Amino acid sequence: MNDHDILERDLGPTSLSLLVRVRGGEEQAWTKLVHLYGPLVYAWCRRWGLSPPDAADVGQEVFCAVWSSLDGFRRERPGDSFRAWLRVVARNKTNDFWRRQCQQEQSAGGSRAWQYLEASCEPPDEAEISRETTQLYRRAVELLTTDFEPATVAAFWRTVVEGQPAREAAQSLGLSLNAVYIAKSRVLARLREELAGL
Amino acid sequence: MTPSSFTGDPCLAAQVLTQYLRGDLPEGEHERVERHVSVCQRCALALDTFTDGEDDIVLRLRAPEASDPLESEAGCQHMVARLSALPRQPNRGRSHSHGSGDKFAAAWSRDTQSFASPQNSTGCRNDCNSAPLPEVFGRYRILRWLGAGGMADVYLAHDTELDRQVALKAPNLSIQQSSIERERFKREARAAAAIHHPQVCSVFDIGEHEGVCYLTMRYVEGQLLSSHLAAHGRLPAHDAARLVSQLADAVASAHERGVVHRDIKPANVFLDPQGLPILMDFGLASVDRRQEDKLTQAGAVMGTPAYMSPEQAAGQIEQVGPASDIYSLGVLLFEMLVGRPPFTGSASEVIGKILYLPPPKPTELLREVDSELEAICLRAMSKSPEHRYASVVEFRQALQNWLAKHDASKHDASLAPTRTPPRMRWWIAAGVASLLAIVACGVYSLVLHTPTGAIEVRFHDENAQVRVLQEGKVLEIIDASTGSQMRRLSTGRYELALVGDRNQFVVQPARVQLKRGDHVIVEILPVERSLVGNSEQEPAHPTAAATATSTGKLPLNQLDPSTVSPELRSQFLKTVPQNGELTLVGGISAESLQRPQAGMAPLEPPLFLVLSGDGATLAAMHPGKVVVIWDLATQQSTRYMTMPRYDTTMTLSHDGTILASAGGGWPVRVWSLADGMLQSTHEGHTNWVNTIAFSRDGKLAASSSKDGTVRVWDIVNRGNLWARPHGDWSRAVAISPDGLQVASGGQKGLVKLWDIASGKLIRTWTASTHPVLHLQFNPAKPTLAVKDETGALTVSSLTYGKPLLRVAMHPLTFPRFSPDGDTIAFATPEGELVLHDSALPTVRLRLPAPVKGAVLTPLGFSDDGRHLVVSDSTGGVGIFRLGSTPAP
Repeated sequence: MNDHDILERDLGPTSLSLLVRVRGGEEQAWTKLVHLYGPLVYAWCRRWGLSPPDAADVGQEVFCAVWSSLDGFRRERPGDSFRAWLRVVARNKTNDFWRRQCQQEQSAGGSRAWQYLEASCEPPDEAEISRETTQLYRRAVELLTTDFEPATVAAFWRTVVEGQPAREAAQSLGLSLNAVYIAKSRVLARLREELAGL
Repeated sequence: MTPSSFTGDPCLAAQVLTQYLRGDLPEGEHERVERHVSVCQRCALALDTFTDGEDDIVLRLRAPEASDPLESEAGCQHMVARLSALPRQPNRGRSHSHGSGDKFAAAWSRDTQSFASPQNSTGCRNDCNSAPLPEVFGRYRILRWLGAGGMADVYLAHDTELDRQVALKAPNLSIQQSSIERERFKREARAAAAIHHPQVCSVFDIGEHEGVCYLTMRYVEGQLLSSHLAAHGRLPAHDAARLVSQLADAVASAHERGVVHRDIKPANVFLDPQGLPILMDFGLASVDRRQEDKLTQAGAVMGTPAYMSPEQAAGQIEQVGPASDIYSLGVLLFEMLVGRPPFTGSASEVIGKILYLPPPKPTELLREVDSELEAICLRAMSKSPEHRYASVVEFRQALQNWLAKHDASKHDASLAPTRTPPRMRWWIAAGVASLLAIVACGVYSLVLHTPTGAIEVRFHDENAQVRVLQEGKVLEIIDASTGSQMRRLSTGRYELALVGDRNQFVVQPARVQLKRGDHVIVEILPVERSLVGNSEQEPAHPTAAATATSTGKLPLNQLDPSTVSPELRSQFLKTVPQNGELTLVGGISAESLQRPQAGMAPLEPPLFLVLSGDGATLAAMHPGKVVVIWDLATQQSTRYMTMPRYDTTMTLSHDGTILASAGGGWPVRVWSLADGMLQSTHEGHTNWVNTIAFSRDGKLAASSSKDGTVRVWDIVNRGNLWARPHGDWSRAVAISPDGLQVASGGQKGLVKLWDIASGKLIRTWTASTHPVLHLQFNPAKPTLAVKDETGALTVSSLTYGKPLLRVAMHPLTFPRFSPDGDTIAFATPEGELVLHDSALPTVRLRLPAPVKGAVLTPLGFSDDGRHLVVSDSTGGVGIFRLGSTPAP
């Protein structure tokens, strides 16, 4: 494959961050957002004590809320993150769920729901945020495969994820060293762009 | 720079290449650099010499970290698939967002119905996608999801090899994820599997299948003891003793093997169809360390810590042992005998009571409880483990001896579960001194109709008043003026409070039960309304307090200087010279602040004190987030609460009936001081909350947070009115006395004034050159006191938006306005108490602290402006009457 072919074909979507594209009504962007963050929301709900079906339900409610109030989310300061906002929404929905549950359980004499009500109020610790970030990046990489040429993805995958030296990757993929670095740089640039502020 | 052999462009600088490699070039640059790199051999070679070891993204992607197993659950995949398939709404634009959102939600609920139901008994086989375990899980076939505990999901499964039904427990993925936790789970499960006792739910099998560890145990059909108690109330003494003795036998066999249960509670006990207790979850409680952490760190997190031993409630995990199980069994016995656990209230309250209050005697709650059984129960519930029974065997023996003495085989069958409607409880709030009078005949009567019958309360004293309350709201007031009334109520929990001179009333009997057959239909119980057990004092009943305020009675006026205790006298008269300007009329000594109730273990000295705007209620926050509320009129503690671990700031409403807390947990919580319960949680801030302020009527609150925003909350309707960025983050916020404006102060001395209704910025001005630490509106004049980090105090005009007065001395403490707005009180770094004119550079009163190092901090004025509440550096609180003429 010619390096220039890759260059020509790789020009995916514009350099707008994912959130901007979702706000702009781009359907694929929404799908991507859901794929990126859905698992995170689901895992939060499960950790906050919800059963698998309840977690899926509450997760759906969370995205409903996100869908209708995305415009309300503004990055007012550089530190504000979409994830923190999403977590607040998820926390509210989970607490709502437990509150409903409490009302039902109180009449039944149970106490399980009480244990969880507000269980999710604790702010995430750094290790948790770091782990979640890693998983976000990993999912983002998996999703990028649709935006790039397979050769670009392969070069990126080998050099970044597998840590193969660029020279070796170039050789085994039949690309020039330049093309490998270009692939790597492009995908990293896209990742940075898409996850900016998320 | 060396020209490239192909393009003639100069080669790229190392800096540019590094950025390029990281994908981090500024916009527009990328294309140019890429064009060059694509053809320049030299630059490609140069790139090859860089390492990308420090690039955060590369490091994350390369790390050998496993993905979150929760995310690979079928439920998750299902959710994502549905979500991404749903909104085919290409024109989701700002103007349409609301409409399309609604449509989306509608489509959603329709679509989720089939998905939300797999918990029902048949759903799983049709829709096993929703279960995290596959239908075939090793030798087990998963039939349905039974429930989730704090640490695990439990499924009903069929063991295909042994052809029997089992309960299969798969720990939460937080446990599955960590190999240490997984080993711990298996170790504990193995220990539990070693216990063979008919009253212990046997563990059959422990294993790991495709990376998921699990255990299977006996599937018990029957009813949870908690459900049984909820439906039937207390049990006959003989049944209670027998059940607890059987459980003690089971616990003893575990203790022999070194396994401690740690979480004995009615929800962990099954009653099998024969009415025999089966204890579940042996030894597993300790696996769920998360839960323990939660408990010890944030009392309010757990809803019902009622069965927890003091050592568990205190978080002394290393002291939790066999004696802790004895304690929990004692609580279980208590609840079965009396119908409720010894300590009730919000979680935080219960934890406080477990730690510091002796349990009530069962006979005080229910006269018919056998005194020997009571003694057994109370000994098991001793605060200190060494005062309990030496072993659970000894405890069981005591119960069996009692059973042998009181043979009542006729009761034996009564525990088999039967279906009866849940009983209705009537909680009668008989505060400290608000006692309920039920007399045989009388002039006035209150008849309450319930779906199951009627109850009539009669009284024949025209000074008495009965109030019917639900959730703190007065539904009905009956007194001589209203005459006899009839009221129909729906099923629920009500409080009947009797207001009046307690000396005229005697409660007789203390407890009323209406039964149908063996079942209690209506029960009237006295409810603890405060921690104050001293009946010599005025009632601390919230209803009574509210009445006093609304009728303009000023509680501090009634304080008599001659009754001030000697400790208080010696504490304050040393530091405050009695020159006729200030008269000590009451207060709380440092010693009392730390020991809100006699017989209680002392608390650590308070971290800070907050006074309500009317000067009548004081909240003291102690280490461990323990908050004690004091009524300054009676100088008695009225409530004891534990705040969530992250809450570091609090404030009281003007009338002292609600408290708001916040901090690193980000939500603003509002607590009712009438019952100590969390009234509402207000979410929205995304970082540390620094300050909260109530409006005077307590209906609104404002908060400022490190997230850079100021938010206004509707406490009544539980909403966020608005959020506005302050620009830089604000550490101070205040609401004007008319409730129309909010002020916030920022890091560069900037003060912003906002319209509370619209959130519009009215005015901005610079009040200081340093970060603003505190703001206070003048209660009577359009000015605002602003104190900055350096201590400089200015008073600004709200009308002109500029400082009018700069106070020459730098106050050490927050300034407090007198109710007429003419005076500001504060302490100087030298410890002087100063009353300063609020408009002129004039000091009205200056009291030097005669003791070196003592600082007199004014906490606030009373509503009538005649009293100043002051704390001194030793931790005590003094109430001083201003002016030389003593109050009537």
